Amino acid sequence: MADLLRTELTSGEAALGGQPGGKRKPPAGRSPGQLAWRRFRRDKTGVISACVVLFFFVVGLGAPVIGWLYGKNPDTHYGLDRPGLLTDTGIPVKPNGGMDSEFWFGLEPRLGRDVLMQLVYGIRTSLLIALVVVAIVTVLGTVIGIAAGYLGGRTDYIVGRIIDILLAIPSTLFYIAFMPVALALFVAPGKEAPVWLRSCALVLLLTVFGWTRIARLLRGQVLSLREREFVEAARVSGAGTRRIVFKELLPNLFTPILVVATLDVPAMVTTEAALSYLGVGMVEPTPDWGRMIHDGGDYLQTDITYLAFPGIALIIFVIAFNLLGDSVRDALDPKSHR
Amino acid sequence: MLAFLVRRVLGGIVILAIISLITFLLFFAVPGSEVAALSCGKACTPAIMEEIRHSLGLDKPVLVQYAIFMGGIFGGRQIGDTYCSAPCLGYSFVNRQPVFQTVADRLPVTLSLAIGAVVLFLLFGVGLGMWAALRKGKLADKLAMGFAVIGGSMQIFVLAPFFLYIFVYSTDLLPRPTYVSFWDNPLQWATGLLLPWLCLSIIFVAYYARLTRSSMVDVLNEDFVRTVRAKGLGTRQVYVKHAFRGAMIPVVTILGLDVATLFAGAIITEQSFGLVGVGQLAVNSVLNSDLPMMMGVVLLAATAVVVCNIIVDVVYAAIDPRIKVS
Amino acid sequence: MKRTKLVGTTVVAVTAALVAAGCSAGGQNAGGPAGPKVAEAKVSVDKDGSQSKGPAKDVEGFRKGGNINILWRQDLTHYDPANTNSSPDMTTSEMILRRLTMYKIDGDKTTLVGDLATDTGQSTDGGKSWKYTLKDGVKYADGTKISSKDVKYAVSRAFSTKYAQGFPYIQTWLADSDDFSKVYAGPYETGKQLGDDKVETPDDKTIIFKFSKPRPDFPFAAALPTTVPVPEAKDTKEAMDQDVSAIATGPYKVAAHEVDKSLKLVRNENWDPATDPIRHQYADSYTYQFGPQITEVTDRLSASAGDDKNSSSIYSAVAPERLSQVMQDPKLKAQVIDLPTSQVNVYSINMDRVKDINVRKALLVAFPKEAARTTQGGPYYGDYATTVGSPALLGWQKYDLPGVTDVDPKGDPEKAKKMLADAGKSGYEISLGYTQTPSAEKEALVVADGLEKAGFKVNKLPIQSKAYLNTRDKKDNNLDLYWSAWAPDWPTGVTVYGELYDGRKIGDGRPNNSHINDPAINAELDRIMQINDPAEQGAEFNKLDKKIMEQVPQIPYVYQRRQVMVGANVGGGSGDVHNVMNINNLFLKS
Repeated sequence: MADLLRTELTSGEAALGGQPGGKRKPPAGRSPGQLAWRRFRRDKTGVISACVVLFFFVVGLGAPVIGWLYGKNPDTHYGLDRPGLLTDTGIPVKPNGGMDSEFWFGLEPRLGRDVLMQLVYGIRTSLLIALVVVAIVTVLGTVIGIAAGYLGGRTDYIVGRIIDILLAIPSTLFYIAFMPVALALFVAPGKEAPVWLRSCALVLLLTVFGWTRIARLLRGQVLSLREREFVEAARVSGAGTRRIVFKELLPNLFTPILVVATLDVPAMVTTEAALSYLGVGMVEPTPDWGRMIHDGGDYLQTDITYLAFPGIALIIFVIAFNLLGDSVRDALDPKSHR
Repeated sequence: MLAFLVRRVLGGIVILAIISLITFLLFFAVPGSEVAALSCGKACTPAIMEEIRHSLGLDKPVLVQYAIFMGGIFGGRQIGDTYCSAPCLGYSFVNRQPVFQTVADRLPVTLSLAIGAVVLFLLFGVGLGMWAALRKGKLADKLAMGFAVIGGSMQIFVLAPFFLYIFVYSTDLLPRPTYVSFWDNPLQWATGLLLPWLCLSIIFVAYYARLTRSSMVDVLNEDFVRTVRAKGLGTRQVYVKHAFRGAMIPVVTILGLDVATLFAGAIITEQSFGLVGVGQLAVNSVLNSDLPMMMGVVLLAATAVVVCNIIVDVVYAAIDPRIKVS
Repeated sequence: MKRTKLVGTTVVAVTAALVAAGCSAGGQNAGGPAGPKVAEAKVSVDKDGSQSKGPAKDVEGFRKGGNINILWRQDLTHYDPANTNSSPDMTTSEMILRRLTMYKIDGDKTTLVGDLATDTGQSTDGGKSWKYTLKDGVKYADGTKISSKDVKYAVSRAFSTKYAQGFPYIQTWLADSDDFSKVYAGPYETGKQLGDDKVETPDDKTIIFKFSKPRPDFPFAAALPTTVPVPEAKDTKEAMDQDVSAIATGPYKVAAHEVDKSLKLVRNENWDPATDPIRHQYADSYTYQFGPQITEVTDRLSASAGDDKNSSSIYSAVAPERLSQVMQDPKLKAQVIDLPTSQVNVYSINMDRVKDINVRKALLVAFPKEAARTTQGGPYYGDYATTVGSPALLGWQKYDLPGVTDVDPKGDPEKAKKMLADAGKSGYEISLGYTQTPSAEKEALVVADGLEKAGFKVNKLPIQSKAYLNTRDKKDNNLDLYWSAWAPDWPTGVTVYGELYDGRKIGDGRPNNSHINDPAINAELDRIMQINDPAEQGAEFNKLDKKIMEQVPQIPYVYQRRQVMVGANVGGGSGDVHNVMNINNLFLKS
């Protein structure tokens, strides 16, 4: 779990690097958004990684289209249906995992499915789950964080202790221990859990631990913003809590929320993959990168190609997303660049 | 200092008590999580099952069971036919052994993995971070930080098979990772764990380099460093004596957490390299629905985190002159 | 078995350059004409005792001394002979505890011989009573003599419900009832041993078993651990399930046993090779290491680093995903012993639910044996089965039954679709139950895929591996199709057909999990069980096999093979009668 926790900390810490935005005076004529966009466009690394990330999204969303153009689907056992593709022990006959003009990325050992299709549909699984988790976590964390920071007192104390407790539980261990528990909440034992239920259980678990980072960060920010003159001024001029929160606080919290959310996506994608790798995430026949990597590990000596595709794809995705996160932070908050 | 320590320890105990209660309730709320069925065997009848449930105390209310469980941790208890001595975290009917004993058997593997990795990543991570901070804005800094981003994006379960392929299967440069007790053969212990250490370290090095660099840069801009510089101390002395100490505060904080989680078992690392440590025990207990074992491991892991947090707080107070323990 | 390149497969040579560049070479087929063959039964019975004398014939190239490590996933489930029931446990048990009879394997010839007894048993009344005489000079590890009264006591205690998990055959036959504990509850409850009307010991060397019906298979049943002598004075009851050091009679005895961790066997100095026609005493000791999973065993034995070179597996040792890599490496391949077994893997059809025989036949025709087998290791997993009995059974013969034995192993979805349509059952729904492990999951995917192509609608129901057997063997399991496997307890059909296809033996936890109940088959079973000559009986069982298959209660899948493996320094690897590693024959080459 150290492995997972690290990802969490890295991104959390990177986000913490961003100083409270406060109210900066933009140079005349340009809004802060326009400025950030200009800064971002000048950042070559950021633009490239944004393109890569965009590519992954397009591939994930357009998986059926790609399948239609490529003429394959992720479920057909090509290697088993057609003789001559897999050996009788289930290894691709052709070198490099059976790569050829028909199966661009080769065939899956044993089951003979198309690796490209598995990969394309696999990113769909991971991204979809990650995005849902990040969306829920961001909203939840923002609400809790602002509430704790703004209301203070008992609310703040309780939220603080809950976060303490959640942080004291090693997350990966908790994920694997409670995945069966979460599943049992939805499905009676002995029945097949439909894919959406399994996804719901995963989302639920990842959410339970996911909200603490953004909540902790926002609480701190709100605590300091609360004492600032402009909030004070709004309060004196008779603004209600709702107005202060939405008009005064939230706009100033936009930067950290966006940065954490950006960095949360790869963290959740890798966590989902790791859980599937450990055998407690998504199960057959839902295509999944983590499970592909796990299966690939069994064929190190006979078919390294099968491991290479999902492994390298996952790493590229995470690097691109982390770089993008850095660039977004730099663009929104140039002071943090040290 | 003593009052501070007592307060932290008490807080830790409360957190642990809450975690244990939540875990206990969650596990026992699950339908079909039948411990009795595991100990019943093949020729099981409802009558025998009821008998086992009774002898294990599973027919009592959940909160009473929780009280018995907690009592067992401090005083030991009788479970069915076997006596489970303190600290009794329950009895695994899958492994036919008290939970604590099984975990204790697995712990040397996990500790060895953690210790080696911590030494490696602290040495290289902090070193790289300092170096980058010293050459801030120069090529070396950019290279180091580039490595940090890439290394930090690596995943154990991807790195491990590739490392195995490159270093073990294709080239025979390193032996297949295995655990040999340090006391039996220190050399085999080190070579057997080298690959997992490297794998874990790459990710941590990247992260600690980043952390050290940024906190070092912060500290170098602080007033007290400027003051000692103004007093005419040399760069080396500034670095070693003053800035380093200040820069280590955030590093120590995070290190405490990382060490705790590593001690609780680097689950994915152990699984990827087939090391039989606490992490693998956790995964297997989940796959076997071994409830007592799962609970035991979760509790011990949480304890490790809480204890390490307390140690961090104490160390924190010791190294940072600006923090007052009261 | 030889590996041959099949004509038409594009096999590109493995080049170091490719491997170094991170590419993988193509695979090669393992099967073909020279692929693994299923051994057929050749068991014979040493009636006159001529082959039952020691010492045993030596293994070629044997060398004495050293310690051999045995790597195995789990500790023996039971040590007490009255409780021992699984194949790998039997193999270990046989090194420590001798029985009345035992199997001697010489090349491909298997003979049932007298072990503690001088021969395989004498019967003068057509199998209703069996008389055994103990050999001279057989002793326990502490030097005391073995008495035939100890065997009687052992059989008596096996009646106790404590030992419900052991083999039930001898008890069932003596009591002439499946509920034998009700007839006689064992010495602990009753304070008495079995009466002389059941088991008689006229002197310390003789024991006579008496039945109300002829029991021609008794000499085989006498090879089960039920006949391991247990002196009443040394019976520690429950404690014996962990510690059998007091009753050791074989060439090795238990020196140390840590539950679930390790077992150390050392030489038993009171074992006399002159009395034992089967066993050896080559290694000084055996150290069992409990815990390593199958892939770890494969990897450790392949690497043979350090003490692993002196190690051996006992049960299956080459994981399906490692098969290619191990079998394509001549050095590793030499360390593998590829055993045919007497186990038949089938997919049982729940006949309580799938009542229409045309649907069952369509399932059989549609079933994608070839694709499913590929996910499990192809030819190494076993040959395609067409019968429910194993070729290792006495009297087994391949027979032809049109529409059943001649189905295409690839599956014929078009034909099956037509059969379903003709029966008016197009789109028939099938609940497929399978274990939720990565490997079984893959097989289930392929099976479901094949059936769906034939127009079935398949509901895949994964079951936790721990709960699989219990769930499947419930009478109302709510499943239609599920994997099942059975290996006979001795090489005749008695423990196969009598257990699996007797309609009167349907119930929770019973092995008749296709729930076939055909009065004609039941009557045939009763008749065949009474036949005295094992060979004649075997021929009749084979005819019954055909009758059973006419009903299609199961889809025969494969005759299971098993790959066991030894470390680089271990010689003498071969299979024993339980189709696991014959660890007693192993020796260290240097």
